[in-house]
Amino acid sequence: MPKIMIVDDEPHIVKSVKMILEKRGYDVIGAESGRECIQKLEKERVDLILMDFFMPEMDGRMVIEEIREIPDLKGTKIAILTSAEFRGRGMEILKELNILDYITKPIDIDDFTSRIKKIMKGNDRH
Amino acid sequence: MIDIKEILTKSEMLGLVIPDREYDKMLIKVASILSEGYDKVLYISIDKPYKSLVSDLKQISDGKINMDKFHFIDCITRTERDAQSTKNCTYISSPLALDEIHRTILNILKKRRIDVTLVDSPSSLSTYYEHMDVLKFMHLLMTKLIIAKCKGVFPFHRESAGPARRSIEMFVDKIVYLE
Repeated sequence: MPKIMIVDDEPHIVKSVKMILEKRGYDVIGAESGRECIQKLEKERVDLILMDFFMPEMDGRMVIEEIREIPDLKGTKIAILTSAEFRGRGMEILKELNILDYITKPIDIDDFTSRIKKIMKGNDRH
Repeated sequence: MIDIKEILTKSEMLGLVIPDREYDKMLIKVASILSEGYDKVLYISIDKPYKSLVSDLKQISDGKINMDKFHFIDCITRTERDAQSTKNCTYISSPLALDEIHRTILNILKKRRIDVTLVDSPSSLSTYYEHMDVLKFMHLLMTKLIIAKCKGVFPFHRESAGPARRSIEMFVDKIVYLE
């Protein structure tokens, strides 16, 4: 079963995304901070990370940069799930960090699940 | 000095990275250049008093600068003494009053046609607020500026800006390094 990690400091978002994806057959684990995300990734591998950008202590970029520095996690698929609107330089950075998709909150469930499906199939580059 | 006006024709939100040693001097130069290229510049100062900015701007231009092209938001003076807002400057009670800063910016953008806003500086806010609060404030501010069709210039200290620069640069169109 494909495993997805949702990282968001808002517990209700972790809970609802988890519920949506579990209903569609994914195994989902949640993390409520960047630190918790990295700690969990040290113990178990996932197929995709859905990362919020606005988080205390470590924002999304910091967490992703740290993940990309861990050799075993370098290739892990990551998508951004956030209310942030990135502009030119931000989009360049997302590309440099090999971010596969950028999904804005609030999510449209059908669009969200179809994008997750595409990413998991590997048909994921925008 | 690079042609900021030319860069701003292609970028709505511009990040500037300035060496710490040259920061104050270069930023005054940037403000002066902006006033030559635009009719109205909003200068948001987190930790420099309005009076000292005016004096520096006059000095760098040999008194030729048109100060009426500026409106200042001074977040520091009232922490030391009482000051009444004027035609060219709105005083904020303290850099800690983020809501008041936000409301004042919105009010000015609503009432006046501002061409470009200079925020001096996002990293100064990090002295007073948690990283995420600064990030959210800057993101919200940029959104409001875009809605108001106002360009934004966000200078950062090259050596001491801390994590604020790397995070806020996600929301700008371009980063320019000044030397």
